[in-house]
Amino acid sequence: MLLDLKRGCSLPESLAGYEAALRDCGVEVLRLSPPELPQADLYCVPAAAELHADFMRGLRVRVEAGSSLLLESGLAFTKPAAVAGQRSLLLEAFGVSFHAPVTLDLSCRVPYVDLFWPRPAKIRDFSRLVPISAPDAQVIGQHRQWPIALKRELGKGTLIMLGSPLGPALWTGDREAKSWLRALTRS
Amino acid sequence: MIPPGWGLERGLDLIKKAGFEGVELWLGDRTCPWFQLQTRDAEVQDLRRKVENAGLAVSTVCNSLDWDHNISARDPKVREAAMRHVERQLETAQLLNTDSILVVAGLVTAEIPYNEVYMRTLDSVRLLGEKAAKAKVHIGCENCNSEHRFLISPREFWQFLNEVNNPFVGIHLDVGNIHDTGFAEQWIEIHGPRIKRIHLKDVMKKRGRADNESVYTNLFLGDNNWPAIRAAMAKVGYDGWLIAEMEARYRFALDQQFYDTATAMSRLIAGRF
Repeated sequence: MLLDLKRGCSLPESLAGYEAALRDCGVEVLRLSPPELPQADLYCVPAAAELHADFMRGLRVRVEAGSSLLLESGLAFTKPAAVAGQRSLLLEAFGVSFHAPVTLDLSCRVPYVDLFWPRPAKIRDFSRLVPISAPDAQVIGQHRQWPIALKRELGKGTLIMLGSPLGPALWTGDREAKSWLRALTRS
Repeated sequence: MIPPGWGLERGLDLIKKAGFEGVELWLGDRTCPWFQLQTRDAEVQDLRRKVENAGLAVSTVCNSLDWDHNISARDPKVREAAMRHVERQLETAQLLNTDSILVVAGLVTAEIPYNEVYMRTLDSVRLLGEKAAKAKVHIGCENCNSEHRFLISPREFWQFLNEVNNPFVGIHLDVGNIHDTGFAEQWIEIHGPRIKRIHLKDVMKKRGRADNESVYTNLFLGDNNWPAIRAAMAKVGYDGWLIAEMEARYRFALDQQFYDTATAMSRLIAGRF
């Protein structure tokens, strides 16, 4: 299930990228907006910049019951004033710390983030990222000193949190991004 | 790159001692009397023996003829000559036990405009691609960018290869030729599995051509982002040949350039920056 947060999604091209790539994976994609939250095996939330507390709690309940949640942070591309509030809500709902967004130094750098699970992939960075951390979480992605992807069991389900946008790479047809997402849907 | 006056065997010995594993052979190059269009098959086989006796392999068969006789030429006779020399590349690649040739496919001039070159090159490469598939030898079309003024951006090159639609036709990617029109790591990302071979050289992007002054330079001395290039190769899973094509030559101690280049390439491969 692809969750379109409307104005709460800070990168519409990320939403478009996930939708196209998930369909390419042969996954039946149902695109809905909050407060709708029917049962699904996988919830995908692209570029999340504004999630309401009730909706986060609803997602938590679904994950604890056995669903997976792929949540890509959009906090690096939203109004700074909104970031602190969202970070608190995400910590309370999922036990995951989304740290202050980092703007990457563009001079002579290696412009890729590394994802390790469910398969290794180098994905182009998107200029800004949100480091994430959580106790008992497996770091499944890194860029230099920053962990940017985590996997954490929650009840019977799984949280996959991304601090560096994957959606824009999917949107441009990046082969490795698409392979990674395909592997995730099959894991 | 074999220093003038050295001869083939001495040159191969230098290449091996400097730390290389292979050599790229250029059909029709005036500095290579041992490999011309009239060189017979038996002589080509002898050439292969000399390369292998030196402990090397042939990475690619290139040619120096495309700039004068291109497969995009208007004159049918010139085009036929170009097709013939590319076919000879395919034949000699098999004799030399390599599975890739380099072609400069398409040459836009003031006389022959872009769209015409595009149509004619597409036709020619499609025909050659069928022969390549039969020979099980890949054609790597080189991105000469500003030099041949054709397929200058990575996306138009990608679209051209889409239209060729033959797994035996891809890109022989030169990371220096891109100059200031783009970024080599982005070309690598876009072309990924279609990359047949990679030419290495560094480039001074802001210099531009000035008479005979080269825009190119030794690895790590120019403006290419080598850590990004290395990472891009890892990203797309490229594990084929890396070939030093050093247009800018040392003025003195010519053999030293071989050692310096091989050492730099080892650092690049190891990712030690």
